[in-house]
Amino acid sequence: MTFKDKVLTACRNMGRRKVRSFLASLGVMVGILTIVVLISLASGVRQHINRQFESVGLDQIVIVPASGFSFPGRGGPAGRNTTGPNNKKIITPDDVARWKTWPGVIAVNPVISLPGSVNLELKWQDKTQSVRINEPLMRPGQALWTAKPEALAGNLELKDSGTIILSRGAARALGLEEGQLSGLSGQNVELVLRTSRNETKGFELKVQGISSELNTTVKVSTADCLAMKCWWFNNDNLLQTEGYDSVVVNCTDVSRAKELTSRFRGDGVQVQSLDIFVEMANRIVVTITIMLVMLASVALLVASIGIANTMIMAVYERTREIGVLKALGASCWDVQWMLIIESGFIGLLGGVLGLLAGWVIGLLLNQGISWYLQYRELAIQGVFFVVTPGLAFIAMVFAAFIGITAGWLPSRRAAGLDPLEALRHE
Amino acid sequence: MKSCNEKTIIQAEGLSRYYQAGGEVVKALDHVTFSVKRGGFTALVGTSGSGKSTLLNLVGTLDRPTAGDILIEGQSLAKATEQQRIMHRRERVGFIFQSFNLIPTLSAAENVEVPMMLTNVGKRQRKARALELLNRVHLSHRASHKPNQLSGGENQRVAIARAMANRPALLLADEPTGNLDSKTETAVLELLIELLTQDQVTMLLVTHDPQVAAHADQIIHLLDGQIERIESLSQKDAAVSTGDQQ
Repeated sequence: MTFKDKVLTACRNMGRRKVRSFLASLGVMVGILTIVVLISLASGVRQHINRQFESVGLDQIVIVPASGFSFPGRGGPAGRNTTGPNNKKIITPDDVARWKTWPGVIAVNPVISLPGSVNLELKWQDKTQSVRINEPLMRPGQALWTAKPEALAGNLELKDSGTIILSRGAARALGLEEGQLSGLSGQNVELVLRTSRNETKGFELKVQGISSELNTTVKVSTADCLAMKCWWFNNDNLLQTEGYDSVVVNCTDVSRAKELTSRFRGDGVQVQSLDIFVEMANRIVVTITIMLVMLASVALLVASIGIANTMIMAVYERTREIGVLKALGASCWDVQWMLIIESGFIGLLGGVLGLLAGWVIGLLLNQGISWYLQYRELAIQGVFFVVTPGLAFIAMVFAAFIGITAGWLPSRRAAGLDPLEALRHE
Repeated sequence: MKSCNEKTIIQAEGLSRYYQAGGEVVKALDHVTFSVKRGGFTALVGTSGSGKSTLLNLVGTLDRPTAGDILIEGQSLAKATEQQRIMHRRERVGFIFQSFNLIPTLSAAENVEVPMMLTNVGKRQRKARALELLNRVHLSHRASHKPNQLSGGENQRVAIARAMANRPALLLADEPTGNLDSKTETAVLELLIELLTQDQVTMLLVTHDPQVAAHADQIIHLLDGQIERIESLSQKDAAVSTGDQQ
């Protein structure tokens, strides 16, 4: 008996008691529906968590030299202490160039930090204001509590040396009113470094833009920062001897950032990443999902009992037929296969119905949640229920497996029937 | 493989089948020895409980003998493995039952196709052979009818067509006319004999009806599990046999 004939016979037998087969598959449908909804919700929530983490900068990795943040001196030009730790691995421009080629890396931005003791003054016309350098986000996730600034004038993408971005607070401190802020864009200002012994060095920079930040900070390019630092430490080869203070790497996504973190660590640098938080959040979601799926599995257990009962009834009703088939030369395997395929199809039918119902419910819930979020004016976007092809496939296989498992014992019983006894069955 | 005359298709030697019932041993068949020649029609007659059906079931490998052996075309069934017994039923034997035993959800043609499905015959050949057989039993116009849409005689003719599907050497009929009226009984019996003659098939038929048995070449009378006597009703070569009651 060919497999095709067994399948066709199983389908025909399933169609004999349509209502009974359908009712038996309903149990599987409920179980699969619950599991699909729960897993698709978990999948959606995980994606949402990852997106949220990405939005707060967890797709960023901050790299510092292996021995951590340590500046080669705090004394300034007066007490020039340029002897930094000699044993630390420095981050060179070659490293930066190499990292740019790694897959999953979007951008590598080296950072030069000025020592905290540096006094900076911003001069424009006759106005002077003490400011500090606004460095890129130095800790992953800092964006979580730092609002992204908006450009009030010009643009905030600092690329060229010789340019500067002022915060709104710094610009206002120079005596400008709100309406005059855009007038500052394109003009030259001077950034003056002052030591404790009143030695000064001015850097003339062109205002590229004004950000919406209220603090009195300025943003300058890495090259300008380096020039200032070189003056401060009186060392023109600072980059060669000390390297970059840190590097901010933008990755394609959070999961890629996690992979790259271990790769960077292997490169001998210290990596600051909040991947552990992503992992923790995902682990919590997975744990909750497993618990809920186990609860939903109770429905599948009940469903499998239903299928087993259906198959036992089918074997009982068809005992004589099984006897006839055996008398005509059907083997035990032929009989068993036909019944296993039949019970597998009952499970599969439930699986298909459950998947479709779960998918539709997911769509409706996505729509409902979206409406609710709009109604509450909450800025949360994205879908919460995600039925992936993988989930659909696994759900189908699982449903068929439930059916096959439930039908195994009745099919074994049928296969072991004595043909003579079966033929006498009324 | 034991020696067996080329013309002999069934050779039973000291064939016994005992059952355990209520602590007692019931001798359904007790040391039966007989032979059936190829192409003949042998009737097994006797009262109820004489062992006719038991003997038929042993020949059809639906049951195993307690003692003795039965050789079909020289092959021992007592020593046969389960797979050999299945192959014997599939390829060498065609069963006709008193209560037809057709599968109710299948049409007449599909019922005839079942034995061929078990021997992996292709769908197209199966269909063609089923229609050919239904034509031979004069039921080609009823090919798509389900058993509940057919009369008793028609159902039995479908069952005959099914039994012939794999061109068996041996047809085993257990009271095939038992559920039919006398007119239909005659028609079915004539059809069976016609098919036997055309296809050179050997038939072992169980009946308690002397009129049915009268059509046979050889009649084996059974009584209490033993052969009472063997009657040869034909002068034909095929019907010559020997009986030995032990």
